[in-house]
Amino acid sequence: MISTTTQTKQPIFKKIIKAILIATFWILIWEAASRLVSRNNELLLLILPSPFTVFKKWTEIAFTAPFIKAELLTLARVFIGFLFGVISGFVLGILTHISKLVYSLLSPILKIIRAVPVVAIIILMYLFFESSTLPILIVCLMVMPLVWQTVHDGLCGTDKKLLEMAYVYNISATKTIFSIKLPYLTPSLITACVNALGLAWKSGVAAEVICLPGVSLGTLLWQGKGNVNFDEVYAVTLTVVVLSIIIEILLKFLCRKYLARNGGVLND
Amino acid sequence: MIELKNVSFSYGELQILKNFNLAVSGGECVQLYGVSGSGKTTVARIILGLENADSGQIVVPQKISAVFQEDRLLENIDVLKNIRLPLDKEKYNFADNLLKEFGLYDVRKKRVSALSGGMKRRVAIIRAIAYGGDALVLDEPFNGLDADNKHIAASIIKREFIEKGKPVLLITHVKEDADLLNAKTVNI
Repeated sequence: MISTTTQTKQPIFKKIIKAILIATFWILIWEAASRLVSRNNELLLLILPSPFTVFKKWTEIAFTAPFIKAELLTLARVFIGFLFGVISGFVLGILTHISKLVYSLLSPILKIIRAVPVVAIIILMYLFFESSTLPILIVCLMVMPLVWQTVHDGLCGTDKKLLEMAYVYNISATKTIFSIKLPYLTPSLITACVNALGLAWKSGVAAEVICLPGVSLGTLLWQGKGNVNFDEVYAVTLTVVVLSIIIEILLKFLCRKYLARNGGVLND
Repeated sequence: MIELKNVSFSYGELQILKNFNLAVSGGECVQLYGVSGSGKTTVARIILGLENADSGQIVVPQKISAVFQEDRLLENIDVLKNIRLPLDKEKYNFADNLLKEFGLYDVRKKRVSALSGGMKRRVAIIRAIAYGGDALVLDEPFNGLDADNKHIAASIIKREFIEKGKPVLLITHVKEDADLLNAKTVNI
């Protein structure tokens, strides 16, 4: 639902300082844990390297051509999967809203996809799909139910009084969906998409680690683990986290712009 | 013509209407008067096809316009889009003229959520008048309007419905509002 509550705005520099302080706190905890673990056995430093070692490793690999290529390909897979997930979830949400028969037929699939662990889906799908396309499919399968459920519930939960108004004024079903129901659901759909993006990254990289699609961040993670290069594993993970945060911030920024123009507020 | 003969209606065990009769002829305005919970809005809902009567006979025109108790506007789109939503393109000019008569033409591009309560009410009335139809149902239509705007709304409703021979059903507690439309009072 579109929320129109007034929010107290924090100055941007205050927000940045707060974020830096929180990050510093957790980096210090990480550093302390690393020192504690390696105090008795230096080999354990391999498993939990210090933040400085990880950052150093990251600067070594982050700007090399193979790493950038891996980043871009993972990004592309996550993005394509996310896009297909949003589109298919949106279409299915509308179809299951329009037809009770379609809802009855497809709702078990929705429940199955939600209940089966991601890893199980990845392993099962690996039998049928190429390793380079499987992460796309997995991301799509993770995003789609979330969007589907949001669209379906949003359309079913449209303000009854507005629907009565549409009925009295003989507004067509198509016009009712596109002019009344969809605008009503937009803010919750946007929130669902932002949440789904985080899920897309996690499941996409997990799928890459399992099916090793040539050049990818997931493959680099696997190789790092295989070569006992845990600082590399941490550096790649750091990259995934940073990319995920940047894209989420970008998506939220665009959504806020859109909602501000259309009279709504993004629920954080 | 709006006609209800021996209409009964209940919400579960609670009987709201029992053998209720009402007739509103073309060119006539009838005020339905009664205490809260007497079933006035239920009568309007039955006429508008939003509720099915348990029994009785209901004769209503096919196309009825309505001003609901609440504004029932889409808050996040502008005034013009709200008014045009149920309209055919041929009626756009008519709607623009109504906006001018109600003094809302300058805010036609403003989002409804940015309007005052009285302005929203006027937008809801304009939408109902612009939609036209062969009858009009008004449920507390002048709530939140000042005296001047009540007069403007009443005179336009008279011009577009009553003087054109269409029946108007008015639900209100306010005698002055009924007088503005020269309404005949029927108790429920």
